[in-house]
Formats: sequence, C-alpha cells, structure tokens
Amino acid sequence: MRRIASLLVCLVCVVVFGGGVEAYLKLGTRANGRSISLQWKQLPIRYFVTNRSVSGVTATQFQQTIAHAFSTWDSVEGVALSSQFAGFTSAPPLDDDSVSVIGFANRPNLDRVLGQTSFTFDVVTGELVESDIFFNASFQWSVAQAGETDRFDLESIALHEIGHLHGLGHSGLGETELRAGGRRVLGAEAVMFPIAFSAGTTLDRTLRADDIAGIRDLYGTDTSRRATGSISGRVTKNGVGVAGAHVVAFNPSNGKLVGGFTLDDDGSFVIAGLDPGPQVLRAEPLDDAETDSFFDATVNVDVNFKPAFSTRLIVVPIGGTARNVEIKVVPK
Amino acid sequence: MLVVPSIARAQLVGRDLPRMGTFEISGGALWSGGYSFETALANETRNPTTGTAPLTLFQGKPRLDTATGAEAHLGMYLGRRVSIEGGVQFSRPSLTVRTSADFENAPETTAASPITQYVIDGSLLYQFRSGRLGPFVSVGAGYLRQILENNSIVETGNEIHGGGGVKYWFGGGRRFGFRAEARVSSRSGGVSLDALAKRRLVPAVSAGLVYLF
Ligand SMILES: [Zn+2]
Repeated sequence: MRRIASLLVCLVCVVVFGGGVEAYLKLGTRANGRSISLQWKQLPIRYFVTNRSVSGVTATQFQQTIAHAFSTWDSVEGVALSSQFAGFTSAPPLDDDSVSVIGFANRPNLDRVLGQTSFTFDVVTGELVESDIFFNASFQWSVAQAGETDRFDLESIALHEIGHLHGLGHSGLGETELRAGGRRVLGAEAVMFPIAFSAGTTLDRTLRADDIAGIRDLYGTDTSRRATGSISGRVTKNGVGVAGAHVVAFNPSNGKLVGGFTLDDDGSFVIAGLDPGPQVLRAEPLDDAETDSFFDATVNVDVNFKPAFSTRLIVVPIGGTARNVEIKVVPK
Repeated sequence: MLVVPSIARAQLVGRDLPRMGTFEISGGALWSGGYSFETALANETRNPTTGTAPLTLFQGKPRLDTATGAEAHLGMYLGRRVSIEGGVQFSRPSLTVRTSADFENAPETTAASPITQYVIDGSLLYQFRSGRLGPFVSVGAGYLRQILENNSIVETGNEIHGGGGVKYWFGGGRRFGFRAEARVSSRSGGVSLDALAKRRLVPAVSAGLVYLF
C-alpha cells in the first residue's frame, strides 16, 4: 500500500495555457488571443457536499473536514476569499449542473488519482461558475487528528484540491525520485505539488509560502498587493529563451521558497506575492513530475539544461516589480 | 552651528594646542569592513517515508561585503584637548549570498546586489597632541541609512563606535595635517539577511587631510 500510495498523482481537468500567466501557477484559458486566469468573482463560494460516507469517514466528518480545508485558504492573511457550505446532496460530483459538489466517488480505474477537480467557467472572462471535486473512494481515507498509517489524510488532499478549485495549478516545488512504476516524493514545499506525500502523514494540512503567494496573486487585497512585490525576467540558454523552466525565489531572511514558471518560448517569467527584500533566484528543469501535470501541449517544455542560480541578488521592491532579471543556464 | 563667527575668533594657541572654538575640517578615503549573516537553508518538507530531516534544496551564506568609500568631519574644540565633531561616511558595499550544496548540483554562485550606505555620526575626541604628531581617541554614536537596489527599499539603524588615530601636522603653521583613524562600530538595525536581531561589529579605517581654522 505504501509503495502504491507514494506514486499517486492528482489531476485537474483544466490545464494551463502558456503566455502571460503570472507567478506561481494559476489555471488559465485563452480568450481573444490573450491568457486569462480562472477565478471566482462571486463570493462566498457556495458548495454542496455529498451525503456519502466511506470506510473511516462519515458524511458529517467529511463535511467538517472540507469546511476546515476551505477555511485554511480563506484565512490566509491579505486574501479576500470566502466559502459557504450550502448543504448535503445526493448528486454525484463532476456533474455539469452549475452546482459545486464535493464528495467521494468510486474510480478504481484511476489507480494513481487521489482526487480530481473540474471546472465550468466563462471562456471570455475566466470567471469560475462551478467546480466539483471527487476523492477516489478506492483508497483508504482518514480524518484522525494525527493521521492513520496507510490511510490518506483527507484534509491534506482536500486542501490541495480546493487550491485547484480556487484556480491554482500545480507547484513545481518538490523533489522526487524515479522508482519502478512511478515517482516518489522526497520532499516538497507546496501543498500544490502534484504528487502527494505518502499515506499516513498530515503534513499537507498547512499551506506553505508558495501556496500563500499563489492565492494572494489571485485573490490578494489591495493592501496585500501594496505590501508584496514581484520579480520578472527570463531564463536563457545560449541567449535563447527557455520554456517550461521552474524558477524559485528564495528569501534568505525567512527561508521562504516561492516558485514560478517560464511559460513561453521567450523564457519569460513573473513571480508575484513575494516578501519585499533580497531574494536568491534559481532555475531548474521541470523534471520532478510529468510536464503535463503543469502545462498543456502549447508549452514547449525544455528540460535539457542544468540547474543554475542568478548572479544577481534581486531586491523585491515594496508593491513593485524587480525587472529584467536574467538567469543563464547551460545545456546538460 | 554658526560657522562665520567661529571662523572669526578661531585661533591656535601657540603651535601645539588649539583653543576652545577652533574648528577642524577633515576628509578622506574610507575602508569599511563587512560581516556575515546566519547561513540560510532552502528547506523543503521531507516526505516522512524517506527521512526525517528537511530536504535542503541548497544553502546560502549571506554577507554584507567590505567596501571603500569616503568620509568627512567637521569638528569644534571645546578645550585644548577635547573636541566634538559630526561626520558622514559614504560607501557602496554589496549584499551577497553564496549558494552551495545544491541538491541537483547547480554550480556554486555568488549573487550580489550593491547598496548605498551612509553613516551620519557624532563623536567626542580627546587629543594627546604634542608637536607634530597628535594621537587621539574617540567615542560616539550615529545613524545608519542603507539604500537597496534601485532605491526600492531603505533600511535604517543606529551605531555606537569607538576608536583612535593620529594627526600629523605639516609645516610651521600646523594648520594642515594628515589624519588616520581606526574605529569599531557596533551596529543595530539596517539591512539584514537573517532573522537575528543582533548587533554587528564593523571595523573601519580611514585616512585623509585635516585643516584647522
Ligand atoms: Zn493537483
């Protein structure tokens, strides 16, 4: 069980389109030739919960756990976000019925998928109007305070899926190793990393700096935006832009790691929601998860380069952007 | 400070010791020492089935580098041996972070960003002057202002300092001279690349010209 669990990924139905998408990784779509972020405009987000229980989790426990995961996102400082439990329902998740439903579903064929989030959105404005989440009842789940051996912690996985529901894509902030049949996570510093920690742990009940920067980028208040800053620049190899590079900003003052991606052939990136002050920048190829966990096929992901640091210590201004940063990488 | 009347009454006493009200202006080149901050670890949360310690993606050794710059002082004698002076120091040190021990073998790199640094201070000096060579000791306190890249962030702090030096007077009038000084400053505040709120010791030496009037 442990071996299988370590290889799990969770999927989202909407993948990210390249170009102009800022920071971290936000889910996006294209309208009239430009990229727009998927985002809720009507708050609170109203959601129903299925009245189905599974082994180890009653329907009431399920609802309470989902509510707690929502509140974790809602209570991020500097974020204007709210949610509301609308009631129990017998409707299954993933129906396109303009009602957001969260619940368990049997998906034995998806033997590496713990949960999945789907969306209905306005293709012109990117406004989210419905999002459903299912948790795969083929796995063993737990809501125990300290977690349970060989059972996946529902709150941890719910926090990840609700991050998707809010419009966040996957983070690249994790290290994995290839094993027979798949990848195992060695470490991660984002709840939104696409591959889950092993069963039994509750470590992903807590949002990390990368998750917080991402949600602030989408739903940050004006006050929050004025108090944080951004870095924009390019990753280049022999003077040519590198697409699909994972760029990490590290704040040596507080140890925070926040990631972003180059999303076009120009190698451009923007990382927003950063604490002001000096930051170290590091670029690496996206080789710790399948690239389709992050992007759709429109991004020509280049993984043929060695990780490298910027020679410039970037000072993130308060409420502004440090621009024209270039990280030069070399082929492997 | 009223400069014009002071100039009118400034006189030297004999050839050795200035009297009360004599002014002294000096300026020259400055070397300011640097200091290191705590090593910063870029840690990821470890998957519990693969270990217990955090996974360190890389580490960084932050530092405020040494710098050269300039300084100027304007002083006034309160007596034959005691004077007060105000001064300003200017320098352009770099903030650096040396990254190493990368989990995926990224080459070690020093990332740097220049800052503009001012110290505006006041000091009390006691001179042991006799003849051409005049040793002195000083103590004082000052205000620190550090401006980061593109004027994006300004950090301020304060300092106290102590030190000593020597003045060597040229010619018969002994109004012109050479001044060399070494001091140690204990700084609080200013730019920090770690979470420690501790004082930092900064040595500095300077050399330049001095003029009495
Ligand atoms: Zn996911």
